[in-house]
Amino acid sequence: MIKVVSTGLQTSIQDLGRYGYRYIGVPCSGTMDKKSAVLANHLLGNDATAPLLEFGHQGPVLQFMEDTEIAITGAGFNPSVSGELFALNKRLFIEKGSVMSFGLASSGVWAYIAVRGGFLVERVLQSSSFHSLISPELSIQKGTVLKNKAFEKRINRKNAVLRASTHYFKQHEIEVYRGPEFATLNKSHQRELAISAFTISGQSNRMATVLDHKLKLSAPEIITSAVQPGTVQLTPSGKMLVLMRDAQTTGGYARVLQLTEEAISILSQKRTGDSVVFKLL
Amino acid sequence: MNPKPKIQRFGDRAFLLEWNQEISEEMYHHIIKVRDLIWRSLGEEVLEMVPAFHSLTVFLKPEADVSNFLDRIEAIIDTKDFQHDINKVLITIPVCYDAPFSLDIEELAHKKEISIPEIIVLHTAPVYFVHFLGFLPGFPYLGGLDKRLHCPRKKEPRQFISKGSVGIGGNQTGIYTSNSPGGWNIIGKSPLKFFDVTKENSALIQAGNYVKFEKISQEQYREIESQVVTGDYNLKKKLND
Repeated sequence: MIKVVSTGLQTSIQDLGRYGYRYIGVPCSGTMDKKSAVLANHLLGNDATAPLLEFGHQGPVLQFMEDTEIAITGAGFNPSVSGELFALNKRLFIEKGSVMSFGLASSGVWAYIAVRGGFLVERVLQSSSFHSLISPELSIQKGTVLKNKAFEKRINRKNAVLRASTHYFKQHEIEVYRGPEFATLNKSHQRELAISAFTISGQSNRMATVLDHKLKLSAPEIITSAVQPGTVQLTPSGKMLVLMRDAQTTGGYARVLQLTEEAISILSQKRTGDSVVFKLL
Repeated sequence: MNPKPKIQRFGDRAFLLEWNQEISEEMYHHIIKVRDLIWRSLGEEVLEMVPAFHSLTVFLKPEADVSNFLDRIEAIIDTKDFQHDINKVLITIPVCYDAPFSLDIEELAHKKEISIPEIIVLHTAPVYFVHFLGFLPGFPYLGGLDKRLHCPRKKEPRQFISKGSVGIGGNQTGIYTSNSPGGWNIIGKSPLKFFDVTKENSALIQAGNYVKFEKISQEQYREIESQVVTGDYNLKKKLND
């Protein structure tokens, strides 16, 4: 059991997402940086679908109420217990009574804490992922006690390392497919999409990343049709949005590009003012 | 109607099937037939499908073979001998068109040069068809809005629209089934609960249903609102011939 002493920012429980209900308008949700989340569960031998604690920019303070094995992945936080620093991307043994704080991320946005066995959280529509319109809670509250599932294997007191590639945090170029409406753009707009740098705006959240640009790009509305995480929408006024994990299931803006699954994880770790370039597949 | 959809890849593990730009009940039934055919023939590899006005998006499971999936969809799309049951369900949705619920009805009346009572008559007259759900959990995309009420979405979307609000966006009308930001012109509000994860069918209104709006007073709104909370409200639902 882990007690949340202070929450940090945008702290929630997420798993790989909620599937099978998009036809009734239920968003996928799930971890913003799926790569980091999968790594955290992998380090502990958990199922990839085990629920994790996700937070962005500012970390929580956590009190461990029993000996616990955890793994922390994602953004550049410096987790510490009584001044002793703990590494990311490692299997860690945390003693009962430890109070761990995370402070602010020095790089990236989202971080993950997995516990051995996974957090025990109510599933709504087959997923533990929090979403304001679906789950009873939107975010983790101060004082919450997070339970973890029982695990059979004995506790491993060694801190195991797995070589994790975090190279992608610095990646500037992200891979995209042409979206369904890409071909309706004129050739010069298509070219601009492929060569220009786009800047992450401060309005970004779990639903969408807003991209700032100074180009004269725009596209007419379409007959409403499905969208998905990673869909790049271009509005008639030229606003460009990349839909993220909590995005709606359908939309009426032109879908000009579609990020790869990997590109969604990379983009999620970009901070306001960072820029990306699209690489067309 | 063009029976052959254009099929294109839509990201790592999805395909988009698009028919000609027609919005009709026939199109809905055709899309549902194709959806059911895909479930029947390729269902093991399909994660889920999202129908919309003139499209069907097929999301594949991680283990699916994406490389030749497009060809395999094309090979099975022949709906001639494939029937699906059509249950015509008509649901009546009570709506209060009074202030403070009808945020934009005056502006709409001004823009369209129609009186407010006339807007209400035009909005409550049709039987609307539910083409699909999307945008918000349980949000029905309704076809059948009177042309005289067509009105573009607001230039600056509102940050907060409360659930139950009924609006007009472009040539569509709909109900905000959850609290949400949104750009539709709000003309009224329904006291019903449109999405409930504790129910087996979480969405009150399903794709393929018919919907009619019924004007209620503020008093009736309050009454139905409390009946919904206690579970005593009987939804007006019948088979529509």
